[in-house]
Amino acid sequence: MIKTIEAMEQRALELARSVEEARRQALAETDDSIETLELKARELARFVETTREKTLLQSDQTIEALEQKARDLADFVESLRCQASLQSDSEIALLGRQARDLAISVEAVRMDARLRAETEIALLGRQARDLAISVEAVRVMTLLKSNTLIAALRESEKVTARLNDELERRVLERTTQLEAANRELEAFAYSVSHDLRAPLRALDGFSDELLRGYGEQFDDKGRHYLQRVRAGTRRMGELIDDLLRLSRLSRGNIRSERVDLSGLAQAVAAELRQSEPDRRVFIDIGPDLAGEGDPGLLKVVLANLMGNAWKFTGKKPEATIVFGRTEQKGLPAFFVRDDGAGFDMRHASKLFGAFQRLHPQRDFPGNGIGLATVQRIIRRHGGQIWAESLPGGGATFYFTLPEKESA
Amino acid sequence: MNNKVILLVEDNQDDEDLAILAFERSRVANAMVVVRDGQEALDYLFGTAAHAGKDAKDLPELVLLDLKLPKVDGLEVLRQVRADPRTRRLPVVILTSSGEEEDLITSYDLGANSYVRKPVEFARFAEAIHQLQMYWLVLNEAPVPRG
Repeated sequence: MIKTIEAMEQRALELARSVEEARRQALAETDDSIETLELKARELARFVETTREKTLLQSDQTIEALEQKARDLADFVESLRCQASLQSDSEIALLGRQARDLAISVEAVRMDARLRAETEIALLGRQARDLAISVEAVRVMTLLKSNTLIAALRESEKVTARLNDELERRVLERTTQLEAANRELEAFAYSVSHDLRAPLRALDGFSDELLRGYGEQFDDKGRHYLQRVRAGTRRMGELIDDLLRLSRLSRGNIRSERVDLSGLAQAVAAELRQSEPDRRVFIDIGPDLAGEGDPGLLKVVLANLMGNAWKFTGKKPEATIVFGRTEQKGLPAFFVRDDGAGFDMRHASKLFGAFQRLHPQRDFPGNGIGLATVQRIIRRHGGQIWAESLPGGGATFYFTLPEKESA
Repeated sequence: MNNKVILLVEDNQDDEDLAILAFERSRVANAMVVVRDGQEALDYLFGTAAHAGKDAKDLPELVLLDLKLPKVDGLEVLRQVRADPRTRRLPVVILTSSGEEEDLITSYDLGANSYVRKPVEFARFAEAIHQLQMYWLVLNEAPVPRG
């Protein structure tokens, strides 16, 4: 039994050493060693428990054997007593004393065995406790390590903050770039307005002078070509003007007020009638139509939409143009409808692009800038614009104008 | 009337020739002096540098000033002309390609007498030149004493 306990001691010591070793490693190394260490501590705890059970069992067995011996001795004494009933009392007394001594010594051995086992177990228990403490120490170290982790986390938070700053800086930079791009665009528009015009003036001016001062030296064809040069020049000039107007639309501020759309439409209709007094066009304008927006720009919208309706009904002897209000896609929408040439819905995506046209210039003249302008104005008002049509079946243009929340 | 000089400040050769053509067409024969950048315009008006020795009192009857000019731009020329007592009342007409609202406003703020945007169509340009000439050289009473 003593040997077993010594072996256990040895084993516990080894374990403790290996725990210490692991602890040192753990201090220097990764979490893995801590796991190993805990594993070992658990192993040791299990070992201590089994040892304790074994030791107790063993000492109980020893004691049982001693008790058996004592009982055997007592039986022997009793048999002796029976056998030698005639022997002297003094001999019996002696035997009785011997038996008592034996019982006492059995009890002593029993006590001693218990004691030893208890001591060994206590020692092992202490070792286990020490081990637990050292495991705890390692755990604390691990925590410290996790403090390092926390520090690392903080560091990463700092990095995140820095990244955020960086991001913000880049957003600012991008904004600055966009602003610069916008300024460049304005410079471009300025340059378009200023520089692109100059060669056109030269083209028109000198061809005009050729016609005027040297016209006789050309034949009719020559003069015709010069006229074509001048017509092209003028058209280019108009395109530049349209382009500039379109670019100004994106730049300027827009006003917001209650606008009498019916009134604007009436004014546009009057202008259209004046432009071609002989045409028979019935213009139906809904009463009391009003919207929120910039009166000047909304006039441009109506002038373009109604102007288109006027233009694309031009080949009909009689035509009808309607400006009204309806519900579309669940929203109140204004519309301008005509019964003119219409267009193929397959090309509807091109409708609002700048300089896009769906009809040949010789059929219906135009710069292809009107609907681009209209779309830009409606979008700047926060509204939407779309169209429905059938070739030959007229066209309807819808637009919405968001109502301001009344404060 | 022939002694009335018009100063044309214009860097574009085409525009210069067209302006001269337009003046010829309007049959109001004024002597035309052409300078091709803002600095030369100032030198001409103040009798400095290449124009040293020219009598600074001998001012043109009308200045036709482009805005986009080499060296010193038109607005700066106008600023200096208005800042100097000798040229403060000199009739200056801005004759430019720019239709930018800001150029227009700044020009008037700096004391331009008129602002004319050069039209692409020569016929209209010639008409504009004719009107300018009629107004500034014939109808208008200049405030500066002739000298």
